[in-house]
Amino acid sequence: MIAGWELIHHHLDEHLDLGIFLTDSHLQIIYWNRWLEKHTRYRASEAVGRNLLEMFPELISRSKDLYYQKALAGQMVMLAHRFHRYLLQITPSITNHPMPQMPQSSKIVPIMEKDQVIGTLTIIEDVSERVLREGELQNHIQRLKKTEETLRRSEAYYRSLIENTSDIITVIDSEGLVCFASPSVERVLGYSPGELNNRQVWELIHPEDLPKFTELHDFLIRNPDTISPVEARFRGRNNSWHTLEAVGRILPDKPEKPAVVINCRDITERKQAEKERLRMVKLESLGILAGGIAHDFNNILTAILGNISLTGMEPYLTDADRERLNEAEKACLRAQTLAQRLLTFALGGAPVKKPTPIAKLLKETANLTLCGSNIRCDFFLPEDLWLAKVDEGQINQVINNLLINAQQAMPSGGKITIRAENVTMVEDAELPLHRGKYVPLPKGKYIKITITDQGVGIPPQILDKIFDPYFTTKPQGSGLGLATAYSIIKNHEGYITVESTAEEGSVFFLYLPAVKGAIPFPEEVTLEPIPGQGRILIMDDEDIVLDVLRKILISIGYQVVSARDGDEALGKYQRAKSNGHPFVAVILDLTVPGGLGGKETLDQLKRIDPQVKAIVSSGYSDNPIMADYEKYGFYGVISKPYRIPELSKVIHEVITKKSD
Amino acid sequence: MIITAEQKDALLELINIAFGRAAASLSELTGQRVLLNVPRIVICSMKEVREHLENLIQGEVATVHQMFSGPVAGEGILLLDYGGAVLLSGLLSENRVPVDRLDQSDQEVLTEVGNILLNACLGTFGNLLEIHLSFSLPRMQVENLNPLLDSFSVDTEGVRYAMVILTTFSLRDSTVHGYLILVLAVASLDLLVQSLEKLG
Repeated sequence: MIAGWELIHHHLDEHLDLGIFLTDSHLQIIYWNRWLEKHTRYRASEAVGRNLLEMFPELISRSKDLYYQKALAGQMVMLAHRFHRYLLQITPSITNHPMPQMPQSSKIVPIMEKDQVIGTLTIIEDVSERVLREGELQNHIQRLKKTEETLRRSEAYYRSLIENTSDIITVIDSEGLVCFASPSVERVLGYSPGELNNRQVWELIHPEDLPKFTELHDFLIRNPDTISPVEARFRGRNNSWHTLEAVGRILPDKPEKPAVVINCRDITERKQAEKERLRMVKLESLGILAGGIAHDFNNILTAILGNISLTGMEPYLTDADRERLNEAEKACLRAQTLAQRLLTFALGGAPVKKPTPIAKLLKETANLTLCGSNIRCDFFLPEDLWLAKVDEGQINQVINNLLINAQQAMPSGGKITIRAENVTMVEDAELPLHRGKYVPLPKGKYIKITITDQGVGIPPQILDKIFDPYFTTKPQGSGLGLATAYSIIKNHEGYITVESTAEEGSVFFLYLPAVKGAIPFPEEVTLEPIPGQGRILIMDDEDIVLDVLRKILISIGYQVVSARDGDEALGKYQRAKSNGHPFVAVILDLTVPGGLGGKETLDQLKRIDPQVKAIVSSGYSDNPIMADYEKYGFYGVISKPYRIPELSKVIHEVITKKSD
Repeated sequence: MIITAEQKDALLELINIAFGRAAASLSELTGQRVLLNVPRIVICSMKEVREHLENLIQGEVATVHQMFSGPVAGEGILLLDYGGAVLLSGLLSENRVPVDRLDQSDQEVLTEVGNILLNACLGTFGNLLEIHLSFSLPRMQVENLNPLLDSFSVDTEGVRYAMVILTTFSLRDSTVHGYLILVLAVASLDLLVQSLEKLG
């Protein structure tokens, strides 16, 4: 039996992977196993019989001797590696181990005999391998946590990008269901992001745009590597339509469940601005054409009107003749109004703006236009309205056009309401106005005029076109009324827009720039020709104008010399001055095709005679030189066609005005 | 077994002394301030342990078992819920990345902690009773609470009692709750309670 124990002991000693030693109660070593021989520098023969604390004095310096005291007092002692690192200083068993001493877990067991501690048993386990692995695992976990943190931050970063972008980012699955909508959807379309989840995106798209949108969606699903843009109208939460520019691409990381990520940008304002620009371009080109026609028309009318006036001065006419001439003159004046309307289109049709009491203008125009009709007009015009900075004639025309339209929309009669109010735009940005419609006005004071009728209303599909030139729904309409109104308001740096409900009526909104200032006095009207004397030089490329103008001037007492262009006029002015028969005034046509025009002729005349008194005349009554003639050196201005009293008044004023 | 309020107060005081020593050992070991509090002690039959514990702790638990023998014999168990064990081990160790599982070194740490607590407690009792106790090697285990409680209930003869000591570890601004359970033969417990009288 003893031989058996010895055998077991021998094998344990040879193969046990633990360090084991025994001491007596004085810590004299009485057993030192093979493992310890292998890992310490002591053989059993050297260790046995020696005192443990003398062999390993660092046990005292590291306060580990206290644990032996405890064991000798009968306590079981556990020494975890993480708390104690090691018990005995032993070289690590693993080559290149990061720790200078072999990591150990140890137990110190009291050896008892009849309630007395007679010694200690120490068991040492080499935990180098485990500590290395646990360290690696810790590093791995640390790296994972770092990666997780980086991912979390990255996710938060991209989430914040998505949440703060003004574009809408959506994910649509292959069935057209919304899987994700970024928070900006609320700002643009009014839906909360969660509200759209699992809704069919097709429900939100305008029926006319649906085919191209579904086509894009299907195309993207079939062609994963492509990016495709499309423009479509989306229904907002309040049922308004928003034009969105969408760019779609299939989500690359979900090939098994294809979904499309769509980035949408609200281009409603851009589209509206584009529409405004196109309308302006259209108006401008038409304006050039209309201006040319009006110019020629005015020249012809000058001749007709002048000749009618001259004929009317003949003493031998019968009453019937005079009646016919009056009718002819009236027709000429109506033709002049038409020419004036055409001219409003002309490029740079600069209005002659003055501070105007708009309430008076609105009342007078409405009373005159609606006089004798079955329409009642209610006014809401506060007394503290600012003055509008407008060309009274042009705004009169705008109001007139709007009222005629309103009247025609109510063939059985009804009510028109005209309101005016002071408004202040506080920012350069849009004013939230009609269901978010863009109002392109700079900041400042404006008078807002609202004209409401109870007519048939304007169908929604043509609402966008009513300001286009030549667009009309009336069999006898010219298509110029609202286009003229639009052009005039634009030239006033104002804004006009409309809202309409079928069978309820239309509302026109006008914004006109306002100023604070005194109300100007009305001008006096001269009805009789003012006679005069002296030599007048007239220049015009149209013979019929030259002829009638010469006759008119002679009829009121002047001597007349004619010229067909600037060069001829310069020659004649130079000769007259040299001969001592200077001209008291010069009437110059503003535009002469292929020759010197009025402005260029005046520039050269001033070199001959700086005191030359020149009057500018033109069928382009809205030309900037006509509106601001003094700035260009003219003494007076007369728009074609003119009647004898108006012409005589201008000449009289110019001749009697002191030279500069 | 009935224990008077005075006896219970004396027991609580004794355990506080023992835990004070244990806390000092742990503080020295870890280099940081460790506090141990005993808010409550329950003495009950083994059958009643379940009703005291199952409302407070559930699922997987970490336990350190240690047998002791001598004139007073029984078993000491430090019981922590698994999350609490992970947290306590992490708090007691330097430069550890927080994890949610116990590795072998964590288990060693808890074994040493359990050993310190049980030694302090039973050592104090031994001193009081002027007896010498022998201890087995402590054994750390991760197990389910229910089988453990079932094993307690096997005491059909009703000769064993449990002293359940609610233990609170406080360190690094954190608190971990655990239970130190001493399972004693009724005679051993009676001997202990009688000795408490001497303290008064």
